Amino acid sequence: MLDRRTLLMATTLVPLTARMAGSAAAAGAAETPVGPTILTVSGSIDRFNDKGVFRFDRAMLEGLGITRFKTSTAWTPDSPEFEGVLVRDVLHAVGAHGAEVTATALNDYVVTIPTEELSRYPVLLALKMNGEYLKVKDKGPIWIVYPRDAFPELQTSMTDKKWIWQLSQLSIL
Amino acid sequence: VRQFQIRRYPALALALAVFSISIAFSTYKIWRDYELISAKFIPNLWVAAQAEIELLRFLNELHLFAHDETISDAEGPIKRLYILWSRLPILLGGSESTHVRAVDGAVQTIKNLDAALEELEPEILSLTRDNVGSYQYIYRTLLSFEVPLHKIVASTMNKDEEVAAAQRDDIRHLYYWLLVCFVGMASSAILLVILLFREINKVKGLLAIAHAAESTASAARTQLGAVIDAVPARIAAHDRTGKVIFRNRFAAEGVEGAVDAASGPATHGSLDERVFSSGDLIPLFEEEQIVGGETSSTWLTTKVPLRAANGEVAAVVTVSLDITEQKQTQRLNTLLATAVEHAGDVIEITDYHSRFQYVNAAFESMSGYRRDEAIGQTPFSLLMGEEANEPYY
Repeated sequence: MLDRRTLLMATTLVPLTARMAGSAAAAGAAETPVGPTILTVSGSIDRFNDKGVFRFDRAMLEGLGITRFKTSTAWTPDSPEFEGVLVRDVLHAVGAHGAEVTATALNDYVVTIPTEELSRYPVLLALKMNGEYLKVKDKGPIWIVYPRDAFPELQTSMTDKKWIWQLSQLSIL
Repeated sequence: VRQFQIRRYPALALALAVFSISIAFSTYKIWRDYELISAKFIPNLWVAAQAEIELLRFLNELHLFAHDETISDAEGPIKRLYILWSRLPILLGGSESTHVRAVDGAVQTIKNLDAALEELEPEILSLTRDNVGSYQYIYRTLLSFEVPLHKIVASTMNKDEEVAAAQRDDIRHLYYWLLVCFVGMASSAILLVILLFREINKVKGLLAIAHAAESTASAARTQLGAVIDAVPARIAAHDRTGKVIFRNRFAAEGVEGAVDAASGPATHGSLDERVFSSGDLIPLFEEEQIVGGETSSTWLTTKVPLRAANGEVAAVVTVSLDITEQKQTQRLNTLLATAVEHAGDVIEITDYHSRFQYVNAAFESMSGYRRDEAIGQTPFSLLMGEEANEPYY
């Protein structure tokens, strides 16, 4: 059933991504999404693949290099294994320069994360949990995951607030 | 001093007890209520409200899709369906929604909504603008959850406040107890310091008195020693084992001269023993020192028990006075007296008033008066009788 849902989402988003690909090609720069866009990066960035923004599909994100680690969370009883790309790799890929990143979720939840924190810790844009791709229904398609077990100083409620799920946009300030 | 102790020590014990109890109780409280202090308060209102908002946003999106002809596909409602759906597990588990689950009927309502979404999912995914019946069915089904969800949100807010108030009360209680303990600790510590200072001062005073007493005693000992040394007698003390524990200068000189008649344990061991066992003194007795079979000296000796603080005889003091010369003089006097007594001539000794003090045997035979008649009489009164007591010229 989940697969069917994903498939359907993919098909509904295809026309949009096709348009995006066209404009990126016009910009003559970076790689453009083929699949549905799951992350849009905007703000103080040097590289674009659409009007003033950089759009990623899942394959593009995975192409930046996969990182995985197990960690406890404030929302799961056990310690799942998360898999995804490091936020700092994404920021590097788009040539981001700014002190803060504003992350926005599909439900319009917004948090602000200092870029210094993202370069100091291996903060993950998790795409998979326990080997399964995250769906919108279970906090997907992207969940920001902090390595709270490896860095106990991250086990605070203030950090828990930045574990934004259903992430869809990053804006560099 | 006794009264002083009775008054002082209960205060010290009380201060110590209050101090210890305060520390123990506060430690126990802090340890016991550590969870309370470290527990973070998690407001649940946010997650409850999010579910309601997402339901409303879904209904709004559905409504928009049905009525806005510029929207070609059901992308909007589908996206909002999954966002709404993703909120439900958060309400059914986890620390962010304990107050939500505590609301009466909340869990059942959320489970019912979850079941409804499960049932409606195929309809929503295949929703088209032409299928008005399907749209109305979806809309009405989900709208029926709006009021119950809103009630859950309101109750959750109340529950949040209730829990926060209880937590505040607990912390206030803990704070109160810690404050009581702190006051107890501080006051008992101050009392302890004051009492200890007074004790120290008391000890200092006693030490000063003891020092003064010691120097007085030492001075007295020195004076007594000087006096005893000045006495022309051998004074020595022996303990039960016969060891010399004290001896004056005179006795020491005697020992140096290898003549120790007065304090030698060999001669006096048994007498010392008697004093130790009876506790009585041995009155003055004469003793002679024999050297080479001849009497070399004569001593007048006494033995006195020396008692310790507990009344036991700790030592025996032997005092021996050298009376050799007196004894020799006495012997010479005896010889002279014998010679006078038995002389053939009359010998009489009179005092200043010519009264007979002594008459010898020859007097008795020559005068016919007995010695006891003559003593105290003058020659005249002896001849003329009592009344004719005139001076004899």
